[in-house]
Amino acid sequence: MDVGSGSFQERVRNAIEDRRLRAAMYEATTGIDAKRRRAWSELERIEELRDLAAGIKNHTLDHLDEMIDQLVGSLEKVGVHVHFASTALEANTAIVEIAKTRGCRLAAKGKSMTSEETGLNEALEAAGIRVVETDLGEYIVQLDHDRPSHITAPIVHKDLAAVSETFAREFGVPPTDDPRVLVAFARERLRDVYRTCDLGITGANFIVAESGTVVIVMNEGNGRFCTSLPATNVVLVGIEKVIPTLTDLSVFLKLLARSATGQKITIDTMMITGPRRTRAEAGPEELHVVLLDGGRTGILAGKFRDTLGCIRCGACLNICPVYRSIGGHAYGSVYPGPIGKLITPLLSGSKDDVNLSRASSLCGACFDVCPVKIEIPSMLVSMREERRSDGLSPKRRLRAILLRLLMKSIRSPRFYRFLQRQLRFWLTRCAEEGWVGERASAWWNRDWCRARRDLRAPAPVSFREMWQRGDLDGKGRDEPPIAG
Amino acid sequence: MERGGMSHRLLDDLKRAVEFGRRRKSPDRVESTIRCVKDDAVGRRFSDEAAEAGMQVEWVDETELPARIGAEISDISPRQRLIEPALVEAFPSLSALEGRGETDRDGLFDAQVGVVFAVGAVAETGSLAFFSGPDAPAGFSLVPMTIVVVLKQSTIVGDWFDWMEACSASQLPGQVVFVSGPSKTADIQMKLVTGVHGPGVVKVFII
Repeated sequence: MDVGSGSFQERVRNAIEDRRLRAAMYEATTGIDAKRRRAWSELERIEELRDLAAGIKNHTLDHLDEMIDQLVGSLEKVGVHVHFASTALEANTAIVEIAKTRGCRLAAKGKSMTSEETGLNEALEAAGIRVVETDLGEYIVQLDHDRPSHITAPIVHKDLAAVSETFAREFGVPPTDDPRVLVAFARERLRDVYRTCDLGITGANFIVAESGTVVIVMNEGNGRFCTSLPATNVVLVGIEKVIPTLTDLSVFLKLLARSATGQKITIDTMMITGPRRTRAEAGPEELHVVLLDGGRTGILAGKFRDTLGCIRCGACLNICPVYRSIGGHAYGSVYPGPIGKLITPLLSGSKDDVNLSRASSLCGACFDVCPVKIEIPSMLVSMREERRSDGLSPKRRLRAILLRLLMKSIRSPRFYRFLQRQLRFWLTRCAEEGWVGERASAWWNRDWCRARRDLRAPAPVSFREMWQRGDLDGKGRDEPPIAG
Repeated sequence: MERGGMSHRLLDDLKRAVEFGRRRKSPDRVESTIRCVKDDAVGRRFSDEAAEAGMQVEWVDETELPARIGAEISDISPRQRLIEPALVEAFPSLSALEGRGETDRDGLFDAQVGVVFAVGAVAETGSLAFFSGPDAPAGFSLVPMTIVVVLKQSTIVGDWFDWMEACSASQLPGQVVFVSGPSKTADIQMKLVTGVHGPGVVKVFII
């Protein structure tokens, strides 16, 4: 599942220095979040709806064994072939087997983060089956041999000029600043795929236990092509996507699009309940659902169970100041942003991935915008504590000591003033022309100064001291700070 | 269920995993929490929402339907028109419309317009509902750049809650699709473009 090279810190540094990326990220995420806020404000009982959605998800997770059992029965009742995959490899193997035994050569694929997780495209290509992504953003990602950087907006890290460059390089389309030209070209190009594809692959946003209904939402219509035209359909879905009833589906449909893109509903909402019943009907002759564990039962068995309630709206990404600054690729995983910081290490089991939990200011904005109220901030703290219990590096131990000092200073005004004087004294000594820059900075401050900005040297006299001296206008009393 | 060792392993893993946590109770599905649309003017609400989503909506009398649809598709050759058989069955006066009631995949992609019948709609979001069936090929409302939709006002429900409650009580067809506007994308630098893969123009006649 690793999608980035270099260390996390290196990727972050590169992202922060990429002005084009940061401009694109800021424009996209703030725009989408503004639409989300407007859409939420139109729901009279948004908080009650969120509570209900969270309650449904949590209850479902707590009874996931029964739900999956019911789901499988419902799927088989409507003629779906059900496959179980404990690992990504098993999922890919099952799907490749389905494709090969039916002689499939060309797969039209809808957007699926779960398939990114398993590396399905690579597995199919290795088996000689051509896969074409049909979601416009994913199509462009595929042309660039890139990775998506957002759960719902795969090329949020690219601007129009970059996309035009891709089309010029791949197809000789003259450079353009009109996105309609590029979309029209992609439409025709992908229609050639739809005409001839013999396999459709999608994910699912929800899968309903009561009826065995696979639910897919989209704006472009590509998912409808993938599921209506080819003779064989495969749906790859994580076991956590199950919801109990169709009535519950109405709750999530009201929240998903509003949270993801600020729309009341996506343009297309598909409810697929089995393959075609007669030859004359639309839909595939065969419908396969591959239920993926891929580490989810491990998460279910732990204190981070509620992370599985995520409905993949991406709202937490759009509001996160860290994600806005560094984009999705810096995280080095399929799932970026606040929810990605939790589920990436949980799914991968890698201790290195646990470091992602530190890339957060714990501002709590992610919880505020989560439609199913996943307590991301407290879980990040919990994950950090778990990481800490594995032992601290010397740098982390020093930081822990400094934090304890800070805590003591907050509790003791006298100690606080003492520390303040010490800090002013030494920072003033390090300053050059009023700034504490990288060159002048102590080693503990160098990374901050290099990455973001120089530290302004503190005032020679604090306001408190001016007040005590009765010198509020500061005239003629600029005395250098005294250490101690 | 007998699928060899793999299915049992997944279910056994699940069973063990859920035992680690709490067993929170199922919340009450309070209708007033879920329902957004409470009034009875669902026809007008649908019309407003659909128009806001970019659909062209027109209220017509059933007797006007053949002439109105005919005018809408007059500049497209009959060979490139797809006329859904289920629509003609519901409105026999439309049998005079020239077009194809069935086609192969090549014919589907050559079509410029699909004239189709929506089995219902959800006013809350201006969403048209299409069922798949022998006389309702899914491609007719999907492949052409323009679709012309006929919708009976009596089949419009107010809220998604209403629709799903009705679904629960009956057997669903293989595919139900809700269309809530022309297909669109903002993938390229958040600039909105319509007519991506699905139809770029959706014209709705409400009877």
